Amino acid sequence: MLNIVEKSCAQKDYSFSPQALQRLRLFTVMALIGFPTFSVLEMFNLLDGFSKPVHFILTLALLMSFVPLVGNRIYNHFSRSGGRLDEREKEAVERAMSFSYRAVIITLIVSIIIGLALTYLLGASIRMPVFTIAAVAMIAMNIAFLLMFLPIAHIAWTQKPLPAESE
Amino acid sequence: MIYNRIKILRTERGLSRKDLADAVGVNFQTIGYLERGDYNASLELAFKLADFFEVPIDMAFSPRPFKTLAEELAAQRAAE
Repeated sequence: MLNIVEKSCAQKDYSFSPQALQRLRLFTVMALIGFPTFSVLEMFNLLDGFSKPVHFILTLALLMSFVPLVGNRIYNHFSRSGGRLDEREKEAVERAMSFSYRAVIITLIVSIIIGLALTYLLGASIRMPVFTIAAVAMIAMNIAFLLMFLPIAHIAWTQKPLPAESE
Repeated sequence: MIYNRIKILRTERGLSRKDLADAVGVNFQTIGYLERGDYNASLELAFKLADFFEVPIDMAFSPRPFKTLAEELAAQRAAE
């Protein structure tokens, strides 16, 4: 039993083969679309128009859209290896993290500007949902989500595929 | 851009990317990117690779493209 657990938890070598990279890119797109889409639909009550089973299935599908990504070997290698990354991988992770922080900060600044513009230019009666506790919590969750998955998306979309030695 | 002869040196010795990567302590993908010229090795890795192949570092890495075997033979013949 212990052997099976050790085997499944052991670090497996990843590959940047064209197929593996395409799969990773697809999973990052699914993850990055899923949760933010759920947040927007939920914030504006857009799922309420559906019947309960459809609502449930849509919610489940959107919330679980990151599952294929966290099960991916490349994601696991880059997110959990820490000290085991080599110099090229560390460099890729540093670039991806820096990109993600910048992207999140820019998104926040743009959101604040849009929020303020809507509030003060179009009249004080229009309040962005930004100001409710639930909406703030949703935004915080989205930021955490982006910081978790944007770096691997950057890696997936900037690394070039590397065919196997025999190809 | 730094050019290298890692692929030639490796295949001459009949090593796989994985063997070479294990010997110098990097991931085998890194060797692949190095060979393809998509990645420039750090000075530390460049020295490790040169040490491993037992060649002077300028035989393995160069800021200018390496001459082909035919070009080197032609140059040798012209010098004689």
